[in-house]
Amino acid sequence: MPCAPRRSDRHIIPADAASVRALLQRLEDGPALSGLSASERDCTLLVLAEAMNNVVEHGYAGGPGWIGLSRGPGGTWRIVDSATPFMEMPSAPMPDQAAEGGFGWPLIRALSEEIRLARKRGLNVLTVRIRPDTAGHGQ
Amino acid sequence: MELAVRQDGAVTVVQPLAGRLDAMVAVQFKDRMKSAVEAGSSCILLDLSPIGFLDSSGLGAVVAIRRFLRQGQRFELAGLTPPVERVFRLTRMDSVFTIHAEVGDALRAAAL
Repeated sequence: MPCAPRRSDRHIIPADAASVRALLQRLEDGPALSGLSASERDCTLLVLAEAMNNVVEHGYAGGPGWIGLSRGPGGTWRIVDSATPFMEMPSAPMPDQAAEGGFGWPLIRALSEEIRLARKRGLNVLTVRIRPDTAGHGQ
Repeated sequence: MELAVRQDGAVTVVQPLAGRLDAMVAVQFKDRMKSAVEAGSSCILLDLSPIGFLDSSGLGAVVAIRRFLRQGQRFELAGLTPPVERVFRLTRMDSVFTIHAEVGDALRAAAL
């Protein structure tokens, strides 16, 4: 009898900082990032961290909720949540030297070559594709 | 997150005893750094060499530490691993801080 298809590349976690960290550590140790260079792996983990922590802190505003993470086609990642809809994707530039926050979205934009944010069936769906390490030494 | 604090000459060296400075520990890190800065000497050196993952919350906490400095007290960084260095560079916070490759470099510079 064939085994059930493995869906190890799909994750659903509670929307809190500890669960985000635990998922990132599982990804770091798992097969999902194999085949990437060290810098691509680091950049992927950073973009996913920023995207999921944004959902925790701003989407659900610290309240209860869930986050789904899956691999999409063409090396994309999808982050799904049921929090308050984004009005639009934040487009603020990197903050100035006095800032203590606001680095999250600028970091996502700096490290991603494709970012799409959509509202589908009452869910926020963020799709990102991490910039490849074309120079061999990464971002 | 625990911090190891030691005095080396005029420099108070603070080292996080954990590998991740992220959204989960950023507030606690900032609070403990505040205590270390208030009890520390005129130069505080944060040794980031154990940190293999830094996110924007962790970066914000490091930047916020400057608010706790006394008049004339310095705050410098050492030992940035490649993923940490990347975050400082992309956010241009590498131009805000004096950054030493290793703790030893910072201590030699302080002794000159």
